[in-house]
Amino acid sequence: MDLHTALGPLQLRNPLIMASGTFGYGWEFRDFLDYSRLGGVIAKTVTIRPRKGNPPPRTCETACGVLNSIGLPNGGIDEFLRVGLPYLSRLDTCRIASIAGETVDEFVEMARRISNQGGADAIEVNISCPNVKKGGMAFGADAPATEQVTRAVRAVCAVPVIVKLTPNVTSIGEIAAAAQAGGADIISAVNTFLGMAVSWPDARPMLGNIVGGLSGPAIKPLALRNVWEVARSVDIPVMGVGGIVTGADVLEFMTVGARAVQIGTASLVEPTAMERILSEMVAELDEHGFSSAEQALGRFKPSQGPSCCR
Amino acid sequence: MPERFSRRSVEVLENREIATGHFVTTLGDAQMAALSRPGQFFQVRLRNGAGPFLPRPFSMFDWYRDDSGSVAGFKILYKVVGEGTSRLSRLAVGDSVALTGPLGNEFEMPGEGRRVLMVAGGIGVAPFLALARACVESGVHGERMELLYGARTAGHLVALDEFRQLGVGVTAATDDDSGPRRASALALLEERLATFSGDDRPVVYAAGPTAMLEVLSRLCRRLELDAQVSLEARMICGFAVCNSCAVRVISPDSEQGWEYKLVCRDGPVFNACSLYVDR
Repeated sequence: MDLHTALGPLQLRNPLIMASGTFGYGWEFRDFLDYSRLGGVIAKTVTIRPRKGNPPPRTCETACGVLNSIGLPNGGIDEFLRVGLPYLSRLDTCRIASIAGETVDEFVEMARRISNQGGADAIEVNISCPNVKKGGMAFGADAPATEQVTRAVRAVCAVPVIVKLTPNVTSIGEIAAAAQAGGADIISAVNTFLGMAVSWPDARPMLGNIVGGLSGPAIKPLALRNVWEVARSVDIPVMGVGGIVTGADVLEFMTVGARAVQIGTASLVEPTAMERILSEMVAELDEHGFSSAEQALGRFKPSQGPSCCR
Repeated sequence: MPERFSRRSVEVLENREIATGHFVTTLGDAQMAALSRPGQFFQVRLRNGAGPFLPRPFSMFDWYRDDSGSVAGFKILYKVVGEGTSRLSRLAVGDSVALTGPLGNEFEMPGEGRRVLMVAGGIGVAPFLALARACVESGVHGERMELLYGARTAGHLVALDEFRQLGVGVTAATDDDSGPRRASALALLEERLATFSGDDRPVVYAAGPTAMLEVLSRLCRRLELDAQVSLEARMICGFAVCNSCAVRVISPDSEQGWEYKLVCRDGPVFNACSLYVDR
């Protein structure tokens, strides 16, 4: 089975990428995964200054998913360049850094320094974190701000720029088009869905931050709809992300236009999930007579009416 | 053999209700059992569709030895509190769970000649049988160890015989009048500490509800006790990726006087004096 996928300028061994925030910087999964069997990995988002993260409790289980308000704890860009990036750069797969700034200037500074140091094959611009007060989702919820930050990062970055979108908007297609207009090479869709959980007897929130982002299988249908809309709105390649836990899930995202997918929460609850999902995907393709992953791309045929498969 | 933890599908060897609502489940993985040390924990996830989405962290309660006497698995002790523990308690022999572990750090063993006080609040007793066993195996006489155990009712005092079999002195108390006496685990500790002379400083190990551990932490600082606590926190991964299980630990170097540590990586065992208690 030929699993190779071209994601714009990036050539991937297969379409499965470890999503940011659920992968760490590389050492955390070393006992569980053979990185040379992955399409790629995206490091945890880094910020200019070190961040402690949000007050606990930071996560809460929900039906088929989990809410998180982690709040981007990280050691800051200096530590990332000294420790995280050198480790990441040695992994035998496509290596992607992730950045989140409170201002355009912070995005630019981090992108420039990562690009200049080398070792990352691409940079994902996280304008979609729902758990930080400044920056984060504020950029990704506004089309002009999305275009502005994308253009500024693109100008200082020697490697492909990936823009990660939030689904917490009225029209994600417009935001995706703005990212494309700003020069994005690739779009990741989507980050978590804003949600909350409450304990009614004592009338208190379940999260220290009150609200958080929902991930896991609960969001797959929501993410799929967003990815379809994004793929229809832009010409640049799209990475689908949100609730993927099986090989069939991967192929559904690819069918509606994702050229690759990111897997996040699945790997937290099942550290070896990537291997399983990959073999399931191969078996699915095989069973349906496909000889390559690329044959599964963008085949969506809504005009032919609903499926009678099941 | 892996250096650290691993992930495997593991069979249930036994599932036993040892007291109303309290279960001991024996899981048959010799390699994981041989690697695990007192204080460490395992992430247990039920098969897809058969249980909640997230795995549940459980302390290693004890090793399991087969008929030939070799370590063939380990046990977890838990109280049924929700869907995860309820489904786990209903697993049959031969069913399997997805296990990751052993995870986290371990209790530091008591130094030579030190007395051991284990302070358990409710189901917080879970990590102490393995600790007591390891102490005995490293030469600490059972008579030098005590379990100070407080629980809601007599029905919540579990595994007392297992401790007594190791020679551990057990003092139990309950919040109501159903137990041997009415007191909290902390009251038992304060009472016991008052009997120690200046040179004979015990090593304290504690686990239980957060409120109990916060009070214990203050007590330990005041009395300059050598104490270790095993903490719980809401967790997703268990191996320091998701950053869920943050707890505040005193850090003189930081601006606010505290920093976050991860229960899964930096714990679950922490120096009791290092816990940062607000208020």
